[in-house]
Order: sequence, then structure tokens, then C-alpha cells
Amino acid sequence: MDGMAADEFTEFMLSRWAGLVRFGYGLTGDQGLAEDLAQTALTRACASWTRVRRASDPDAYVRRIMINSNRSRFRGRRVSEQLTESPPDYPGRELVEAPDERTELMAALMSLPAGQRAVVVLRYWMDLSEADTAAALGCSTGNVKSQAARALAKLRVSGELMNGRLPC
Amino acid sequence: MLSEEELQLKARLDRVLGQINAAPPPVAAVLRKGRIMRTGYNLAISTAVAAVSLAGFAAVTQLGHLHRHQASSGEPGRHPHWKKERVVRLGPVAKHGLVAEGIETGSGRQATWKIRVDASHNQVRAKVTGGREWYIGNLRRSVNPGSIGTFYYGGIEGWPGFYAVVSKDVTRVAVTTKDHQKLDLYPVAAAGRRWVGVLTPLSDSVRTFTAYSGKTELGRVVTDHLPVTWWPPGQKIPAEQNVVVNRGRVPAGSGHHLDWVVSVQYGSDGYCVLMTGYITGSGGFGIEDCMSPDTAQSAGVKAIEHRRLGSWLLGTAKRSVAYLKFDLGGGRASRVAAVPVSGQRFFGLALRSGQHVASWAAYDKAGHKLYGGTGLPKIDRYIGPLTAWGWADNTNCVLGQGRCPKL
Repeated sequence: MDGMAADEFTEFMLSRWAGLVRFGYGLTGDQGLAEDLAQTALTRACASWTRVRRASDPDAYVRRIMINSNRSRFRGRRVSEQLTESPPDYPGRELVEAPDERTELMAALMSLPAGQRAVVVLRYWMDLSEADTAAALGCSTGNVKSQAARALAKLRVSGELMNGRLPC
Repeated sequence: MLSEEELQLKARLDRVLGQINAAPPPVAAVLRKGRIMRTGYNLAISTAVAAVSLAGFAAVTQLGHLHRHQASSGEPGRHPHWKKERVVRLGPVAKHGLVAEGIETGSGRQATWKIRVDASHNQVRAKVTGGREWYIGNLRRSVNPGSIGTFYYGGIEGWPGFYAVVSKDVTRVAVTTKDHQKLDLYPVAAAGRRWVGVLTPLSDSVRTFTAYSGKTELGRVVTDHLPVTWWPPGQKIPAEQNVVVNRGRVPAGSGHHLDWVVSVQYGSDGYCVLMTGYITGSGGFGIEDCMSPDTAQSAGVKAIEHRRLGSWLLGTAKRSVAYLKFDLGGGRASRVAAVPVSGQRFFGLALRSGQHVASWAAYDKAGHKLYGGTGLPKIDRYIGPLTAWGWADNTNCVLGQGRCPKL
């Protein structure tokens, strides 16, 4: 990676970091894991930056890594360990506003299978089209439609959302 | 076209996810790990030791370029260009926990950075004008165990930096940056310790720290990373060396395998042990841990990574040791060379998943047993990933304490 590429990557990372952590939070429901996923994805992007920068959509590349890393996280659960004596206590890590809504929504999201959760976050939070969502997940648009429908059906009857604002 | 129901879900997701405050982006760590991963790719692709050496050399050269360019990244119009850095001389005792402060000026703007210790919340925190205050370290764990000074990462978003706890002998720490600026840091007492700290804009970074007691130089640090090695006055900073200590292959399931390489880089940072792994058809991972020559002299495992496929022990041995033997139980044993790197011996060992060290011993060139023990050798540090296939967070802990895992 030459100097220009390092600059480019640094700018890319600075501008995408917060969004990727939020995306990761939507996938995992845990900010520490979300930051870990974002860091994993950006590290891989950094390692292959000369290739990634030539891609038509580097953001899609990074999102794809995050989704795959999140899937792998479940495969590797046996050795998933929190190693610090106490978790890093970044200020603002916990939400001050609307904690009830967050708790409800994240509990409902976490009750979904990982694939459906990814569809919900990509399709409804990131506003991706069905085709882009399918590309990010490596599946067909039909699959995205069916996953989204199933996710919505589950959220509709979810106990956590019964008191929420999502209408039946 | 989204339905009303979908739009409401979107609004809720916007509200909840939009309020997540991310920690500062770990730019330096990602660039560093990216470099390790690239090194891993190179090492895995190469099929001969000579090719590996060339790839490692290329990676190290690339790193040098990367750091040099990263340090001078302030292209006009892309990052604010700060021309002048100044450190505020604070009193010998901190007021309101403020232990370091500096002012950056340039391009018609000015920014002030501050580092303070917050004893009531057990935190070290930093902020830059107009921004929020960030957590940068744990106060209780920010200690200086018998050195001139011990450094910790102190950077926040867009402002890399360090803070250090220094010994009582230190009266001043002179800093030079890659922009050739010179700053003087004066220790400030707070929470029973003496502190110095500095943040720099992204377009610049610290190159050297030199500690003084009065007019007497105590030692200096020359670094691109987290400073770990104080070089005595007059001692020449060693030229970079990169030595492969061990390498191997372990099965990774589904017909794949994992090629791993342990190497040691010796240079201005002291000794940095580096382990990279590359899984065919998947990706790479790696860890890196740097230590001073003093720390390297004490024999034992300096870093260990524990993954689903096995564990890697990276350690040092006494200078008279030629090789170590590990009894893995069930009649299996592994013999690994203690490879010299500028006089210090290093070894790297992979334990496959399910393998355990029953006993071990170190031998000299003539085959005489020098020392050994049952179970694993003394382990100084554990460095492990938070997820099996993700990248290590390089979160360290001492085995047997706190929530460190057992092997």
C-alpha cells in the first residue's frame, strides 16, 4: 500500500467507522462485538485495499465481510471469550435516550435468525434494494423477499414488540 | 416501495441505531493489522524459505512506506494542516486531573487537546476542542513497573497519541515529531503517579521520546508504534532485522489447511514477535507483540494466541538454549529450535486443538538439559481474538488472573 492508498484508506475508515459500528450493532446487538466486526472488516479491506479501492462499491465489500464474519462468529463460539478484566468503558457506550425502545427492538431483532436479522438491517435500516441486499448476502432476491417476510411476521408477533410501536 | 409497517420499522431502526456512539476508530491498529495480514498472505503464497524472506522483506519495506506516508498524510484539503504544535506547561500537581495539554495552530484555525485522569471513574480521558471527551485508558491499570516510563495508547478520533506514567527521576521528556517539531513534556502528578502525554494531528506523529533527569539523559524511545523500549544514552538504535523462527501447517477442516509462520523483528521497537496464519480459501490472521530487550531476557512464553484450530506459543529462551522439547502426552513430543535474533533466543510452537503440554525442557547445543518444568512454561501474556475467525483485538491479560481463559 503506497502513501496515497494509505491516506485514502484512512479517510475511508474515518468516514465509515460509525456507520459500520451501527450496522454491526444491528447484526449483533452488542457494541463491543459490533466494533470488533467493523475492525475485522476494515482490517481485511486494508490488507486488500489496492483491490478493494478498484471495486465498484467498496462499502458493499466491507459489509459483506462483516456479514460473513458475523456468521463465522457463531461457528467459532466455542472459543469466543471476553479477555479483559473489565470491559472498556467508553463514554456514551450505553444509550441515554430511549433505552426502552432500544431494549425492545434489539431483543426482537436478536430473536431472529442471523440471516433474517441481516436482511432487516440491510433492507430497512440501510435502505438497500432487494437486489443489493441479495448481493450483500450472496443469495437471490427471492430469498431476500421471503426472509424479509418471515422476519416481519416474527417481529409482528414478537413478545418484545407487543408493547412497541410496530402495528400488527 | 415499503409498506407502512416496514416504514415504521425503519424509523425505529433509525432511532435506535442512529444513537449508537462508536468508540474512536482504531486507525493505527487497523493499518498495523492490515500490514500483518498482507505479510501473512505473502508468506502463505510463497513456497520456499527464500521466497518467504523476500516477501517478509517486501512487507517490512511496504510498512516503512506506509508509516512514512501515513505520518505525512496531511494533503491540503484532505486533512486540516496543522503547522505548529505547542505543549502547555502545567504545574507539578494536576488541577482537576489535567495532566497534559497542547495547542495546535495552522490554516487559520486552532485546536486544544487535553488529557486528564478521572479518579472517581477510574479513567484516563482525552478530548480536543469542539469534540467529546473520550475514554483512553484504565487509570488503575496505567502503571509504571520499574521503568523510566510506561506508555499507553492515548489517541482519539483523528488525533493519535500516547500517555505515559514516568518514574520519579524523570523531570522532562523531550519529544520530536515526524514534522521535525520539538516539544517538552513535564511530568504532572495525579492519582499517586507522574504523567506525561501528547496528542498529535493525524498529519504528524511522535518519532522519539527522550527522558531526562535534570540535564542527564535517562533513555530514549524511537518508535512508529506503542513505545516499549528505552535505549540507554549513546546506544545505537539497531537496524531492522526480520528472522523466521518457525513455520508449519495444521489441518483446518473441509480439506483446507492453515499455514502459520512465527517471525521476530528486531529494531527500534525492541523485539516484536509476529505470528501470521493463512487459511487456504479463507483469510488470514495474526498477532504481534513487542517487548524491550530486558523483557525478552526473561525466559518464558511472551504471547499466546488461542484459536479454534489450536494454540500458538511464542516465547523466549535463555541465550544458552539451542532447542526445547515439549512432551504433548500420549507418547507425542515436539522439538522446536530456539532461534537467535541479535543474541536473544526465540521459539514458536503450534499446539493442535486438543493437544496439551505435559512437560517441557530446554537443552543446549550438546543436548544437556538446562531447565524445564511440567505443564506449560511460564506464560507472561495471552493475546487472543474475541471471535474465532475475526482479528485479534490484542487485548492482553495475565493468565490466571481476572477473566483470562484457561488453556
